Amino acid sequence: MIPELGNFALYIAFGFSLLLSILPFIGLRKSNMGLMQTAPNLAVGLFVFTLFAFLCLVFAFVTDDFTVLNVAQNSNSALPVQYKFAASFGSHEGSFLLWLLMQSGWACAVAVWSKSLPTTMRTRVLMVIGWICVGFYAYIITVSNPFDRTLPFFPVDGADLNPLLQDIGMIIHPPLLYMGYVGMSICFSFAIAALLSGDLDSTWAKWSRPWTAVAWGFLTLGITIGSWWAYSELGWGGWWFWDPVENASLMPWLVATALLHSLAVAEKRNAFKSWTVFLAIASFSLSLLGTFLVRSGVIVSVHAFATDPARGVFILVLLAIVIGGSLLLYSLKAGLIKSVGKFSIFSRESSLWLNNVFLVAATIIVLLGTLLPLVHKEIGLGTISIGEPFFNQMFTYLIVPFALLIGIAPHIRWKQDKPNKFVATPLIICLASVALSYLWLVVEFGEVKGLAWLSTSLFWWIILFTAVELVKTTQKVRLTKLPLSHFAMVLGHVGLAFVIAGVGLTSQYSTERDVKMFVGGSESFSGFDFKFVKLQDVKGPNYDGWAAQIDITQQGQEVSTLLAEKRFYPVQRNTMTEAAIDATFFRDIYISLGEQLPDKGWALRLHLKPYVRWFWFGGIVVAFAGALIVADKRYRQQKSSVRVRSSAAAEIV
Amino acid sequence: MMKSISILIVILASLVSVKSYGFDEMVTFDNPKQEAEYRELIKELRCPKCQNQNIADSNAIVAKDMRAKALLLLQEGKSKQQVVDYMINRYGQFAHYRPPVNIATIMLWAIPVGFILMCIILLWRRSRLSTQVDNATDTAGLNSELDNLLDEVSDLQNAETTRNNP
Repeated sequence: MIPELGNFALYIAFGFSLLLSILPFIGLRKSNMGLMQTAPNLAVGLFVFTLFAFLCLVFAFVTDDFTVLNVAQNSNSALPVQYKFAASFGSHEGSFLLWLLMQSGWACAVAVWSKSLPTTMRTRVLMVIGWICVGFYAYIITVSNPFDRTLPFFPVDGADLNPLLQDIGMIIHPPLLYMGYVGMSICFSFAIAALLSGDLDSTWAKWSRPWTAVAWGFLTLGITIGSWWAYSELGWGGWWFWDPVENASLMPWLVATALLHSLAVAEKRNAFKSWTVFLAIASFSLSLLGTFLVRSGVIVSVHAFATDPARGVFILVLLAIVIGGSLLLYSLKAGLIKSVGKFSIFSRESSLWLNNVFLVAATIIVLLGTLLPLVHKEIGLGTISIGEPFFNQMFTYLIVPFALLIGIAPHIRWKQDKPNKFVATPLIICLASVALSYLWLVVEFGEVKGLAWLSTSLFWWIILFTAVELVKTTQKVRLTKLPLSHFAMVLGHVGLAFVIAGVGLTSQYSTERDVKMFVGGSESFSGFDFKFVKLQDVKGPNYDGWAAQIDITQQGQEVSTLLAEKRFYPVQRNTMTEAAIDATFFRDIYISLGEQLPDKGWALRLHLKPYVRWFWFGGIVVAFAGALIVADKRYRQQKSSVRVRSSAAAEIV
Repeated sequence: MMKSISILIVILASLVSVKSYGFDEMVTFDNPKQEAEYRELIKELRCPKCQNQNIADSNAIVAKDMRAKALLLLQEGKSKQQVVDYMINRYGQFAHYRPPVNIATIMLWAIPVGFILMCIILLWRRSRLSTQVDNATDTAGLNSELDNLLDEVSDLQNAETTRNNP
């Protein structure tokens, strides 16, 4: 009964999305205020019914309703309840419903928190969201319904959630990531609405900037948590593999970062406007392209595409309409956009332009690297693999000019600046960075590796320049009076500096060793002593296993006691390695338990990963920058001043 | 069939791809350089049977074979590149995560580099035009000074009003 209600709610939500895409449109054409004002209400209704449908699905999972196909395939009565909840978005159908929940939630948020926008603009934005929703809801109710039944022959128990997904990461990571992906549709809708109205002054940049910042913050957090989850759950100590799935999330992030910067120029300096609109379209198109292509299985395997042609074709058509339609509209209208702001070659505008160039170049690299193997095979040149060595090399080349720019750009004035002002300070900071990082590496690791030296130098370059900038600014404006968006910039840049240093250090100085240990035995590795104290049985709610207790000491001092587990999940007949991690801010000790060897010894893999946490720490700091942009009161004030201006304009008309 | 598809989808639905992982062979090295080369190699070589996994993380039989062979070749004094060539000869270009350079893959490098160059030329042309315009009126310096001043003032005002209307 409950699943039928959920199903019914989905159909109603589809109806709402249809109305949202049509009624405001008619209202705008006929200048009918009443019809225009249906848009926010429809958006709220869309969200309420989607939420209800989602809760119905969660209910079906939590109550083990195996008459629902989705539940039968992805859950099990023995599954702990928090993972039953997570399983509700663990399948293709369920994750799509989560996507819709986020989509309608964003629509609802726009309806509620954009009252200061002129009615026509607000209506247009919601209408565009409505158009997107029609496609998504049509997809879910036709070919990807999460409420399909197994009746009349339903199984007594479910096939269980993949053990890899039975982790706290599964509960928090997908919602965060989806908030980011779907949030890109909001900047997209603002851009399309602005293109439709032809009203492309810098105000639309002002309106869409806080929304972009929130979406970007969620995306940053989602990717960061995803990487941490992979690290802690997969048991091989890696945190980024350049897998198509990861690339799919990285591409919209790169473009959204570019968008965030170019929105600042569009808003403040009235330049790059047409480019900014293009980035807004691109960020959402890439969210769609990435997720949908990966999800339909096109990239990973061409055969998965053929297993369900209906879904694949639907997705392709949807992609073609969204991307093709928006680019067509863009090409028709972009000519009308006039960027009046002028600037010289040495100016803040130019440096932000370069920022955009590098970020988009990085996106192109990821896109080509993800799609080219497919093309390569199709045109008969054989199968190739593009992975870590290629991406690492390209990103190393890109990050150097990019990081140098991050340091210096905030010091350059808008419009025009004198290059000869930028000789002494950069030279001092450059020398200081190189020297500081050299000292750091010699003292801590006793050996200086080139790439690590490079990355830590870039780290110091950004940190020192940011500090100098902050000091200089506070000489003019008191720290407490600085706008929050300024701190957002500082945090964003410092966060990235931590990411760069973390990646460089952990990739260069991580060590690992495979050892054979008997119970009671000891091993030394990288200055730590590991004692295999005992092997104990573990009985989980839906798994059995062993845990090896390892005591770690350093020069007699106790460091930590870890339990490295090996779990067997009987339903899916999967063996999982649960790595044990002792984490500090400066290093991780990571132990995974392998197989038992014929002579009763155990294979263990010991990792020492210096500074690996800096990667996630930096990511979280960067995400926090997004929150600061939104918290900046300037936007609310500007919105109200815009309202005054637009009503004044209306009077003139 | 349906079940295997749904499992595949579950896996794709998350950022994580399936990496079943196990190791039971104990490897020993002649020297640290050899170990470093071995670790690099097994990260760069792709397991031909798995979905998207390097041979370091895979416990497929073929991956185990490849690891053993890589170590053997290194111990015979072969260079890293020679081992890679051997593996490519045996398992095809697919087995190495670094793509070969050919007529199609040259795009991987050419397009990003071309894009960056094009954008820099665009920037140069556009900013040169605007400096010319500004220089003609000979107020460029003054204007930018004024703009920066205005920016600071408006920031200050914003901060002020923010403080007054918390």
